Amino acid sequence: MSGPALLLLLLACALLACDDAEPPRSPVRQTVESLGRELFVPLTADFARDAQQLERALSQLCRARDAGALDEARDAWSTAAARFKLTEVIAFGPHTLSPWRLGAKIDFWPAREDKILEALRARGGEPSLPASAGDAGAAVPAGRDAGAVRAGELGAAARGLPVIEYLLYAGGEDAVLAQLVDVAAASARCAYLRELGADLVADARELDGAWRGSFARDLSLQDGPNEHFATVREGFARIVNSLAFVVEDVRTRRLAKPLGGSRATAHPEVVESRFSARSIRDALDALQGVENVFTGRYGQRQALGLGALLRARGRPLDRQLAHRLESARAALRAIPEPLDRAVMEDRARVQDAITALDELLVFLQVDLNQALAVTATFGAGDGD
Amino acid sequence: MATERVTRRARAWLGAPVDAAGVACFRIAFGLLMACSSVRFAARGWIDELFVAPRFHFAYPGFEWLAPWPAPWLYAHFALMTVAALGVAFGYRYRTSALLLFLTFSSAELFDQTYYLNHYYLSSLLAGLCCVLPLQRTWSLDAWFETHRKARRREVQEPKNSVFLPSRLPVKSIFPLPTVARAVPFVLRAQLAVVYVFAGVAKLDGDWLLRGEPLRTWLQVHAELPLVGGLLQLPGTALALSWSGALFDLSIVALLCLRRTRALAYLAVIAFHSFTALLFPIGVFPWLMIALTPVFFAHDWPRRWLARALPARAERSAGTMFGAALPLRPLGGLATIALGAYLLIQIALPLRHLAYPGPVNWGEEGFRFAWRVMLIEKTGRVTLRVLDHDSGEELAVDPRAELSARQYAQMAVQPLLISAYAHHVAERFTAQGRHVAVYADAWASLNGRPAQRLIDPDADLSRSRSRSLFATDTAVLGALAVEPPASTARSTAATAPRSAW
Repeated sequence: MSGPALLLLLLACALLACDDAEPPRSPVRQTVESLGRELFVPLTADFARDAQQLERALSQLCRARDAGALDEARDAWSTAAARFKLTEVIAFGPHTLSPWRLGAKIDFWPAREDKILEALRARGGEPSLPASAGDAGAAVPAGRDAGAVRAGELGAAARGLPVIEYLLYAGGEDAVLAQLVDVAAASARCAYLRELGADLVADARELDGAWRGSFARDLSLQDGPNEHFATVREGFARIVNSLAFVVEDVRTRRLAKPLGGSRATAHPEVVESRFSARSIRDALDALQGVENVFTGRYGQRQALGLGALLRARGRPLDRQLAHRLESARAALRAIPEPLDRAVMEDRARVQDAITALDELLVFLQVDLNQALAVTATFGAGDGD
Repeated sequence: MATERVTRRARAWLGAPVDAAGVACFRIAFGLLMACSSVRFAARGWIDELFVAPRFHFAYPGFEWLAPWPAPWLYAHFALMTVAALGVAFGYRYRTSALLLFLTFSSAELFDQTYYLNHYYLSSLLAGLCCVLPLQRTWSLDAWFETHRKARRREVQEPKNSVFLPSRLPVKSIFPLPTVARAVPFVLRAQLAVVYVFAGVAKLDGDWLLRGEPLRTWLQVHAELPLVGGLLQLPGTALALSWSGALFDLSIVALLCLRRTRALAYLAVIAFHSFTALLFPIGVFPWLMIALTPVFFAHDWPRRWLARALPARAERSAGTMFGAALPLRPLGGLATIALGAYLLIQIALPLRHLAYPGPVNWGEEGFRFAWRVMLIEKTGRVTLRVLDHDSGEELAVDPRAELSARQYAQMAVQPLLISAYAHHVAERFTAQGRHVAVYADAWASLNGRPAQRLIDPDADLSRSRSRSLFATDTAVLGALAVEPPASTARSTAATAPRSAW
C-alpha cells in the first residue's frame, strides 16, 4: 500500500469511528486519571490524617511524659513515616515543585543533630533563634497555627519527620523520657515537639490540598495543558520515571552512600532513620510505593496501574516486576538492623541488596521504559 | 576495447548537456532549508544545550582536535552557516558559499558523535556535492551578474546601431539555454536513491516486517491524537505502516524515475514524509526529501512549470536573470572516475556492517552513515566500575554525573560510545597517577525485547582498541533470541539463554 493510500485509509477509518459522543480517552490518560484519583490523592489524604494523629500523640506525650505515651508517639511517627515513604513515587509533584517544595520540609534526611540541638537551645531561650521565629504574634497564614509558623521558619534540617524521630528516639527510651521529665529540658523539648507536630500537620494538609485541589487534575490534563504538564504523556512519563528514581534513591542514597567505597570510608552518619533503626523498613516502604503504582493497589482501592496498561497492550510485565521486587526485598530484609552498624560490620549483605536493586533498576529503566515507550528516542540516527 | 567503449559511452552520456533549471531548484531548496535548519537550531537553544553545556564530548576518531568553540564563536559559527546556506540558495559567490556551508555544517556535526542524525549526514554530503557540482549555472546571482556583465561587454563591442545586434534584442537571444552536464543531476539523484534504497533494504528484517517494531512502540506515544490516536494503537496498524514504509522506500526511486508514475510517486513522497513529520520528531528531514526529490523529474521541469504558470513572465525572464553565461566545461576523465568512486563509497558504506560481527542493530558497528533510518528503539542503562589495580579499590562511576541526558541516552545503547567514555574515565584516573581497569555494567533493550547485557561485564574497556573509524574490539554481547510475546510473560534477561541473534 502506498503512502497516500494508507493515509486516506487511516483518515477514513478515523472518520467512520467518529460519532457525537465524547471521544474515548486513551488508555494512558485513563491510567493517569485513575492513579491520581485512586492512589495519589487518597495517599496524601491518609498522610494528612497520620500527621494529625502524630500531632495529637506528641501533645499527649508532653502531657503524660511516660513510657506509654512515648510508645504511642513513636507508633504514630512510624505510621506517618511509613506513609510518607509511599508518597516518594509522587515526588515529582508538590514534593519538589515551586511554590510548595514540601518534600524537604516534611522529610529532609539524614537528620542533622547540630541543627536540631540548635533549635532546641533556641527554645530554651538561647539567642540563636531568629527574631522572626520568636515572634508568636506575627501574622499567621490560613491553615497554620502559631506553632507551625514558628517551626516553619526553620530550615528543612530542623523540622519534619526526621527531627521528630530524633526527639523521640535519640539516646534510647530512658534518655528521651529523662529529657521530658527534666524540668530544664522538658519545656524546650515539648515546645519544639508541639511546633513540629503542628508544622507537619500544616505541610501534610498543604500536600493533600495541592493534590486534591489541582495537581491531580493537572497531571491528567483534565482542564487541558497547564503550567506543569503540556501533554498527558508528559505526566505519564513522570510517573513511570519516578519508579526508577525511587529505586535509585534506595540503592544510592540509602545504601551505597552509607556503605562508601570501603570499610574505612563507610558513612553510618548518613543512614536514614538511624535513631529509630527504621532504615530498612523505610527502604521497603519506598519499594512498596513503586509496587502500588505498578499494580494500582492501595489499601482497599484499586486503580488502573501500569501493569494493567501493559496487559492491555499485550506486554504484561507483572511477573517480572514481582520477581525483581521480591528479590530486592529479600536482600534488604537480609540486612541486619540497624543499618548504620551493618554498613560497618555486614557490608556483604548491604552490597547484595545493592546488586538486587541494580537488577530492579535495569528492569524499570530499560524494560518498563521500553514497553511503555516513555523514552522513545526514535533511534540513534533519527531524532530531531 | 569493450571497457574503453563503455567508458567512452558513459562519459558521453554523463557529459551530455541538460537543462540546468532542475538542479538550480535543487540548490535553492537545499540552501533555504539549510538556512532554516540552522536558524531553528539556534532558536531552540540547541547551541547552548548541545555544545556549550556538556562537559565532555564524544569526538569522532581522528577528529579529537575538533571541539566546540567557546559560546560566542559557536553563535558566529551558526550565523556563518546560515549566511553560507543563503549564499547557496541564491547562488551568490556560490563555490565559496557551498564550501563554507560544508565546513561549518560538517564540523558542527563532528563535534559530538551522540548528535549524529541521518539527515545531518545527508545534509553534509549534499553540501559537499554543492562544492563540486555547478548548481549555480542558472537562476543564481552569480549567473545573473555574469550574464549582465557579458551583455554589457557585447554592448560595448557592438554599438546599438549595429546591423548585427538590434538594441532591443532580449538577452536570452544572445546566450543559449543554461545547461549542465547530465552527470550533475545524475549524482544528486544517485545520492537520494542511495538514501531511499538502503533505508528500504535495512527494513527487510524480522523486527520491521514481522513484529512491526519499532513503529509499534513509537505509535503508542500518539494515543492522544484526535481522530487517528485510537487507530494508531491497533495491532495491525504498526505492521501495515511498516510494510508500506518498506515498500515506499524500496520503490519510490523507480517510480519517480518513470515518467508515467512520477506524479503519483511525488504525491506519495509528500504524503509519506508529511505523515512521518506529523508523527515523529525528525526535524527537517521530511521537508528536505519533499523539496529535493523533484530532482528526479525531467531536467527542465521548473522551466516548463513556469511556462504553464506564468507564460509571459517565463518568456521574458528565461534568458536574462536565469542566464547561462557561466561556461559549461566538458566532463573529464578524472571527474568521471571521481564520480564513480564517490558513488561506490556511498554504496559500500551502508554494506560495511556485513564485515563486522554481530547484528548491526544491536552492536551498531556499521550502523551510522548507512541510512538505517527509523529502525531501532533502544533503551539502555550503563554504569562503569573502575578497579584500581594498586589499591584493589573498586569505584562506581555514574556517567550521568558528567554527561547530558541526551549524551547518556545515546551512549547507553551504543557499545562504541560506552567504550569511548570508558577510555575517557580511564584517562582521568591515569592523570591522577592511578592504574585502573574500567568495566561496564551495560544493559539495553532493542525493539521491545527484554533487557540484555550489551557488553561483557568482565571486559576491561580501557584496553579496547578501535578496529576502524566505525568499530572497536569492545566485547559486545549478542542480543538474545528472545521474542517479546504478544500476550504471555516475557523471559527475564538474567535467565534467558544467550545465543546469536
